[in-house]
Amino acid sequence: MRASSRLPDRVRTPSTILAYDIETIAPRLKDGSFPPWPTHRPVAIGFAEARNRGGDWTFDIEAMVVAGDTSEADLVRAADQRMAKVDTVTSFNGAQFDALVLRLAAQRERLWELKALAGHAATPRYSGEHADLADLYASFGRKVGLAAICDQIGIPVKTDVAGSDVAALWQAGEAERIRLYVMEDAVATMCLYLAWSASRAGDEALVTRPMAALARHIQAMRDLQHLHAFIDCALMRWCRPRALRADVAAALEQITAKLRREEDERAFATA
Amino acid sequence: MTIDTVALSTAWIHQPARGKRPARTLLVGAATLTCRYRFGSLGFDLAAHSTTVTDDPAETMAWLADWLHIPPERLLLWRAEDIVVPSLISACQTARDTITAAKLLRELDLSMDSEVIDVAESHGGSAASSFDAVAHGAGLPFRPMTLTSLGEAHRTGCHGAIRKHLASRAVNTWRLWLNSRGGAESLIAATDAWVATPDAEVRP
Repeated sequence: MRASSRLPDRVRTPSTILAYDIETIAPRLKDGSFPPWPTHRPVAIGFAEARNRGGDWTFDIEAMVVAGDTSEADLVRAADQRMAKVDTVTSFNGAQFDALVLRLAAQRERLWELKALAGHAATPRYSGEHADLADLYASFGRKVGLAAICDQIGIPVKTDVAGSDVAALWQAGEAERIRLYVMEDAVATMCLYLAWSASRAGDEALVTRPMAALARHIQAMRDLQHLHAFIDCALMRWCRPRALRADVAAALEQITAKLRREEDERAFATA
Repeated sequence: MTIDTVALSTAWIHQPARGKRPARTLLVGAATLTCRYRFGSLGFDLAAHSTTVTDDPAETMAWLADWLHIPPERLLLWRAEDIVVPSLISACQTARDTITAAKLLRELDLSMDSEVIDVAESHGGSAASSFDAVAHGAGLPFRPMTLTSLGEAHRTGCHGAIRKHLASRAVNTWRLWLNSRGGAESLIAATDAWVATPDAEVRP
């Protein structure tokens, strides 16, 4: 069979990636259907940010919930600040829900200076600037849920709470459980993005090395204990030994290039 | 040909940049415990190498590369991902002897075909307590060495202290791994018996 001659598009490795997810509440509809997006108010937002510096991946994971001193405006501002700092923003169905809800919330709060969020929400669906994994995995066809895809790849998701539980938890005042849940979804989205980008670029190191770094980050941070399912998941168990090998292979490649350079310099000096 | 299991421990010193000299990581010591299982009996081989201030800094790298030349079936490390392998990579990347560094990286790369086990994983991974604390908790005898005393041993040419410390770590890495496995009683007994013999003294 002839290999595809089509070059992978938009598969440059971004050095900074932001995966985010929001949780919302909305008035229930009589027929039980999903309320229209403008009626949703964001009550929590989760961020998983990955930075790659020369193959060393670092992570910053955070979630906020509207409670105490934290308002809806704080959520929206935090989203804008984080989006402004990264090369790539990824989400699951964010292009048709999360980004629209956040943009509307910004306008409701009279926050007009949030350029990064406005730019993100205005990204055309097919432009590729916003890596909406719901669209990418379905090739812009019929979408499925995050869990349906993560289950197949071995990424844990919705281990304690599901999206349908959020309204009840919110009413019960269980803001902390919502915060932990949205954080878990953001991390799952990040893992899925890494799997997607590795598959698209045909380079397993794009998933193995950042996943191993993610495991170390979760292990090292005491406040991320609830994310330990990611350390034991099938994808992580596959990635970690390969990441170690990829680290050594990358270093070997660098030093081989250095040796070659030194040889060239010696040859030049003796010529 | 492969050998069964190698437990590896290493020691390094990070030298900050000074003047025109860039920062570098010096691999100042390494120890290997090789465990071979043949015809129903277990054989051990403990070896260590160190480099101090008057030695060629590439010597331990060359020694370790030779030890890894025949890749083990199984390589046991403590904090492989975030400490041992990154420090070996850093030592190679900052070494002035590029050829020796490339040789070590190549052997390390081939060793990655083996089953690489991070023994720290069963003790919390990167959040694990210090190696000595875990060894102490498991009731294993250990030879502690702080970064300061390692630096002092390196400065004063005290090879014995570095080698004995690393040899003890390699043996304890093997023993901690055995403890984490079920049904390893006979191997634990064989290890205990070997440790009590003069053969368990580190071979330079």
